[in-house]
Order: sequence, then C-alpha cells, then structure tokens
Amino acid sequence: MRQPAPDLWWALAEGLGLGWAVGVAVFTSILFGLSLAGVPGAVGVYPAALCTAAGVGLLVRFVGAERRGPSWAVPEGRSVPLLAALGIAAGQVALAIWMALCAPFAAEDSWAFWGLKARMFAGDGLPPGYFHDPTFLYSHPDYPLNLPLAEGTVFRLEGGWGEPLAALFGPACLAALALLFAVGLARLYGPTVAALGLTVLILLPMVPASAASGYADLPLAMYLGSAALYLLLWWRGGHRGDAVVMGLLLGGAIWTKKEGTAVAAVALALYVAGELLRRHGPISPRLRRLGWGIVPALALPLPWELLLHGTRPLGRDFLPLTPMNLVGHLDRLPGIAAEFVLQMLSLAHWSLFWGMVGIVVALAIRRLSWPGYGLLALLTGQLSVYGCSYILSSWGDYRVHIWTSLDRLLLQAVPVALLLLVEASTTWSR
Amino acid sequence: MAPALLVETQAQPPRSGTTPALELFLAEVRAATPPSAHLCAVSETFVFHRARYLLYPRSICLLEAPDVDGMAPLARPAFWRDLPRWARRHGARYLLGWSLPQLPRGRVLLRSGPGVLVEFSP
Repeated sequence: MRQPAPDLWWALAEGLGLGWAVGVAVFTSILFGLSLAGVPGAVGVYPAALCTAAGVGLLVRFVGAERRGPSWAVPEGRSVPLLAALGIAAGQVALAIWMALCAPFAAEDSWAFWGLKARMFAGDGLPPGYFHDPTFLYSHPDYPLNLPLAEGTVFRLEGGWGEPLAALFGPACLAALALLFAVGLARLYGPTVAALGLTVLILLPMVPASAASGYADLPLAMYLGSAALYLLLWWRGGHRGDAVVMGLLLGGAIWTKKEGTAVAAVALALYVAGELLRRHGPISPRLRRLGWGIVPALALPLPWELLLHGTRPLGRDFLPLTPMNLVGHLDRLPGIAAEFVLQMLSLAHWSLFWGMVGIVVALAIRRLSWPGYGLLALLTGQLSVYGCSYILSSWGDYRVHIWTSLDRLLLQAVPVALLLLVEASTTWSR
Repeated sequence: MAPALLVETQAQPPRSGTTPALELFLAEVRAATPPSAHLCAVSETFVFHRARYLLYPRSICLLEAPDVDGMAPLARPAFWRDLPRWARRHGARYLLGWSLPQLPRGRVLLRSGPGVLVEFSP
C-alpha cells in the first residue's frame, strides 16, 4: 500500500488546526444568527453543525489547492526536530487537560462570565432583558459569545459530562495553535526553526495554565496569533487562501473577546497598507484582493455586531472613549508602562520570553524585512491598545485593574511576539 | 526554555476560591428546589454569583444585606422582619442565606454549614 506523501501529513495537521479554530467560530456565529431569528439552540445546532462542516471542508480544500507546488512543501526527511517539538506540545496540552479536569472552570471569571452564559445557552438561552439587566452586569453582557455558545453546546450533555468536557475547550485551542504554528513556521522558515519557535511558545509557563483556566484569553491568542501567521504567509506567498483564512481568524477574534476587535482593526489596517503600499501593478486588482481578507473578517461576527448596534448591551470597567476622558487620565501612562515592564519580567509567567523578544528585535531592527516591520507594527499596535485601555479604566485604582488582568492580555500577544522573534532571529541567516 | 521547564515542574490546577462547604450547600439547594424556582440570596456577592452559576436554571436575585461581608452598615431588625415581603416582591419563594446573623421567618428547608434555605409561605 502506498504511503501518503509527507506533505499530506502537514496538510492534515493544518486542516485539523483550521477546522477547530475556524470551525468553532463559524458554528457559534451561525448558531447565534439562528437564535436571533428565533430558532431555539437545541434545534439550531444541527443546521449550524452541517453548514460548518461543509464550509470548513471547502475552506481546507481551497487553501490546499491554492498552495500546490514545491515552494510550500515542508522539506522531506528533515522534520524530526519538528516532530519532537510537536511531542513536547502534546505533553503541554496533556498538562493543560489534566489541570482543566482536576478543576474545571476554576478561575472565578471563567464560571461567573463564560460558564454562566454557557449554562444559559445550554438551557433556554439568555434570559429576556439580559443585555440591560444591571444584576448581570458582573457577567459582562457586552462580551462576545463565541466561547459560551461553544461551551453551551457541550453543557447539554447529560450525566455530569458537560462541565468537564466544556473545560477542555482551552486545551483544544492550545492544540490547534500548536498545529497551525508548527505547519506555518515550517513553511516559512523550515522545520528546524519551526521546532525551536514552537518549543519556545509552548513551554511558556503561562500558556498551559491559561488554557486550563477557562478564560477566553488563550482562545483569543489562538485567533490573533494564527491570523498574524496567515497574514505573514499572505505577505510572503500571496496565496488567496491565506488572506481568506486570516480574515476568518480575525473574525473569530472579534467574536471571542472585546479587545479582539481593536487588535483585528490594527491587523486589517496593516493588511490594507501592505496591499496598497508594497505591491505593484494596477490599483483595481489590489483593491479586489483587499476583499479576500476584509469580507470574511466582517462577515463572521456579523450577527453579534448587529445585536451590538441594535441593543447596546451594558458594559463595565472602562470609561467612555472621549477626548476628555483620554486626556484627563494621561498621567497614568508612566505607571502603566512601568507595570508592563514589571509584568514582562515575571519569570513565573513568561520565563525570559519578553526580554528575549526585546533584545533580539532591538539587535535586528535595521535588518528586518518589510513583513518583519509589519509584524513589529502589529505587536506594537496590540500592546498599545492594551496599554491605552488602562488609561480609560473606571476602577478606583487603575493599578489594581492592571494587576488582575495584564498577564492575560500579554498572553494574547505572545504568538505575535513569537512570530516577530522568529522573523528577527532569521535575519542573520539570510 | 530551561527556566520555563523549571517553572513547569511546579504546575498545579488553579484554585477556584470557593469552599467545599459552599459547594455542598449549593448542591443540596439544587436537589431541594425545582428547576423553575425563584430564590432570593442574602449573602456576599461571591456566593450570589456562585449560586447563579451552579443553580441555573433557577432564577436568583440578591437582596442587599451587606453586613455579611462587612462592606456596608449592619442591616436593621426591620430588614429581617420584612424579608419575606421583599422576597415575594421579587417573585421568590425561597431564601438562600449564607453566614446570616439571624434567621428570617419561614420554614427552614435545609441547613448545611453556614448556609440555610428558607421557604416562605405563598
């Protein structure tokens, strides 16, 4: 019997990663759209699952067909280091699974925000008036619903299996992130560099702990980091499929957590800038190409965006974004910057990762390629969004707000920072 | 990678902040009340949030008796006297109390640790 070609295994790994990341977001978005149309969740899961399976199948096929050719194959016979790195990743995912099963939804925010909404979706859906009920304000009615809708589908299982299985959502996102990064980095830089990059990413102490916690930050890191990876693949290879996948992943980020919208806007702005400033030729095909990334990014979270604009749910933690609020609290900036530096130097969370990123990027900054500068702009934009959000914190002491959330925000930026680290490190070998 | 590996060796499941006594009490409340029940909680907000999560689909409102977590002035005697009336105004038949300094009028359905479930007459 003929063995499948090595590249087929990598295509399968990428298909699994994309199937989970894009599939979950598409499934929950369709489910939410159906619920807005009055279809009960228990009924809506079947058409949503069917449409998702068909859509993701077509997407994976489309992406694979776009990449035919030797330039995108992982070199044969040199993938042992990458397989070893995937083995380490499997160990870290197993660690996250163990932690999640020992204490499902252990972190308070995970059950008070996400778990509560998941239970509601597993029942009759969100109660009438939920988005404006001040007694539910603590559960952030203005947060997107990708995570609770996905977990709610699992919560329906009888016999007490729902909660532990729903807690495995984070470890599954970690596995998908590892697969996508293994394949993407191997395509861009070769298997050895991919193995090193994946090992650095997966061994960060904060990564498995966050995957097990039930927070939405690791899933958001998966969406944002994978979107940055496909943006880089698009910049390097120009394959349509990569732009479409990037758009879908950015749509998933918008649909997963509020800050995903701001970071997705930065990524889309860089995508547009890359098309308009760096590519040559007539303007109209370049404008058409913009649609490949922008349309999926806007279409995927469309039901949620429609609800947001229609109902304007209650929010908390931040003052309205007005010039007066912004200027009036600018004196917080030095304190915020200091907290960022202190958090980045926390060995227990990040080992030496952020220090390494800072040093390598500083040494390589003059030699970076234009996609490297694009990644640097994306990471700077992402960290600036997070930093500026604390300027508008409505907490009595904004530093307490930072102490309770900054580690999770930095986790969301880790995959983008890793891409930049790899890109900067490889400038010396060119 | 080496510092990361050193930290990894100390990995353990995250702590939830809840207690076995509270989990047991809420499990008993879940067993003692129908899924359509309306309850009023007189407790600190953590207990109220946990009850909302674990007792869903039961609807739960919080009646402010903030002396239990020391965040506000002590509730007056009138608060305990009027509790059944306030609960009924919220459509609740049950009162879920945690660490209460005194019991309101009504039939005590269960006691578990510092927790108490009281049923008011309709």
